Amino acid sequence: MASVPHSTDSAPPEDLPFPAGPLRGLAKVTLAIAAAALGLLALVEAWQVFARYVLDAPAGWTEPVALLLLKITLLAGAAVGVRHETHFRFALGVQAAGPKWGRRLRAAGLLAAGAIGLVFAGWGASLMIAAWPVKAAGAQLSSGLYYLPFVAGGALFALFALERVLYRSGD
Amino acid sequence: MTLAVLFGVFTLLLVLGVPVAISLTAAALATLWYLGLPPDVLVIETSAGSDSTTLIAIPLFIFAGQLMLHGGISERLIALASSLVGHVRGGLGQVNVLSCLLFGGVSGSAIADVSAIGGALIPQMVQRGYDRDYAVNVTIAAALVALLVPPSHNLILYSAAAGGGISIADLFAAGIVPALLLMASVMVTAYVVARRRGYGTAAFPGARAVAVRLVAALPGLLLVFVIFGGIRAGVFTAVESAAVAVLYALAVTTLVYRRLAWAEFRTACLHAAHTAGIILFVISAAATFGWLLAYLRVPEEVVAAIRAVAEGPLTILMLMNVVLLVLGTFMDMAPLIIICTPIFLPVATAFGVSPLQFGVILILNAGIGLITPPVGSVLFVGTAIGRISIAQAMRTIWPFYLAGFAVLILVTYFPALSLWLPAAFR
Repeated sequence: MASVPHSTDSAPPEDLPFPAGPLRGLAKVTLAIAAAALGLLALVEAWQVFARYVLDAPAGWTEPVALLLLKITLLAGAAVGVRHETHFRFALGVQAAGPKWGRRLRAAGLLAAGAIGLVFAGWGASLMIAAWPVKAAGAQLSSGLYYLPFVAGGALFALFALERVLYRSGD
Repeated sequence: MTLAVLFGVFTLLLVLGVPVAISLTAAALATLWYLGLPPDVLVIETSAGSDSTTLIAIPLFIFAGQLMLHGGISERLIALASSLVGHVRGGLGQVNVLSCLLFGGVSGSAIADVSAIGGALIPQMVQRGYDRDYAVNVTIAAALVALLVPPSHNLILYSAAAGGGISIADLFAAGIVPALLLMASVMVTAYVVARRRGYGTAAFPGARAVAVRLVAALPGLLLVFVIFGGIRAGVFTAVESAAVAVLYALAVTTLVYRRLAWAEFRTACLHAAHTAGIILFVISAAATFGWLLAYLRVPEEVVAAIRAVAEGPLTILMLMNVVLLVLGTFMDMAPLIIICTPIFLPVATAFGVSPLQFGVILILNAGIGLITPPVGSVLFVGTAIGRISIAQAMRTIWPFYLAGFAVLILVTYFPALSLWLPAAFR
């Protein structure tokens, strides 16, 4: 029976186990960063309500900061998803392929994720440099910062994918 | 040829088991190269895909749902439901359905529903002599109600996939009547099956017990009124309501219920961040794919092709129902919403169907897919909790499928079921 390790609407396994491997610590730190960004996102949005109703001074900086935090949660959480292999996938093909080809297909999927990560990191870096002098509307933030999660997240995609491929083949 | 590259690469990678988000990105990248467009469009569009402020509500509602899931609200909701409908024949089945509606109203997630309510009630049902397949099938069918009630993050996902132009408050209102219909339909089905199987009844605990349990559950239940009332009254936006939901859930689970210790809080945060990252990445990754669909004028071509073979909104909607049901059995909910909305919504609106009604139909179809093999995450979680095989569940699930299809047909043929409440609130 095919299965998806993760769902739309989903809660990951109770203990959120981190697979063993040399980058386990990095994955834990990455997810902690994603969780911290999510917590800050809630606070920033709540501050927006507080500033409007209690301080009577709507805060203009909240939206650009919230979008930056959203991107950090997105890329950091997604990078850990690459390592945990919990991204939505159509698993029937891999399961029908049998154990040997199934392993190869899984490795190919990881390498594809790693390659896309490198694209994000490479082109993200050039876009970040190009956009750095431009200020984001509403906050004293560089527009280039919005590409930083893609640079860091893309590099993590590549690292985690490579680790899973090498670690699996070494099992 | 360009479309063949876009859809060919996407389908090939998907079949080979490459994650949906990576398949979307790789197909878009291949198409950009084929068209001779600069590849940095991929990063620009993927980044733009996460620039919508509407999207901020999704991780925050997931976070609030996780806090509720780990913070002890489900026990109180089950106790309340038990005192209200536990005395009906096959009472625990009815308790299960009502609990799923109540918990869906605070979590907005079918998986959270089946995990929290099923985790508590399926073992109890089995202990009291209910068959495992019945316990599992009632739970997974009832859990779908959570997809349609506020704060369903799938409705927000649909709004985002539609370009953010559909009011989330209207979508939340549009889902309420279909959700109540689905609940009633599953309750009737559970009752009929319980009668056929000869399940017993329990004594009504009395009005005082109902009142006591209502008071205990009230702080959690108020969340849905805070969210829905706050948005409707214009006190805050949908995104702000999600942040308020997080703080409210935190306050209720730590200060009122006193169940959310540091370990549970940490687990809730990590699960929420992980889930949010994965869902947001699909949305973001689909942006370049969607941009290419628009660039290649695919929605216009699809509308023209369908106009040539079908006439009238009902024929179109029935056709879409069939396609979405089939796709829903193979694809999970977020990718289905993200990929199908830009293609099907223009077709539906071209035939005069309201985006609100189409949204409810899309979510119902995708929801039925969640309890249908080969890819049905709610089915997987339910059968894992009930310790039965998927085949065992499938043998006796058909009355519950009929209940779901009946609601789907009603919502398809009677637009007022999803449009009346949003209009009444305006």
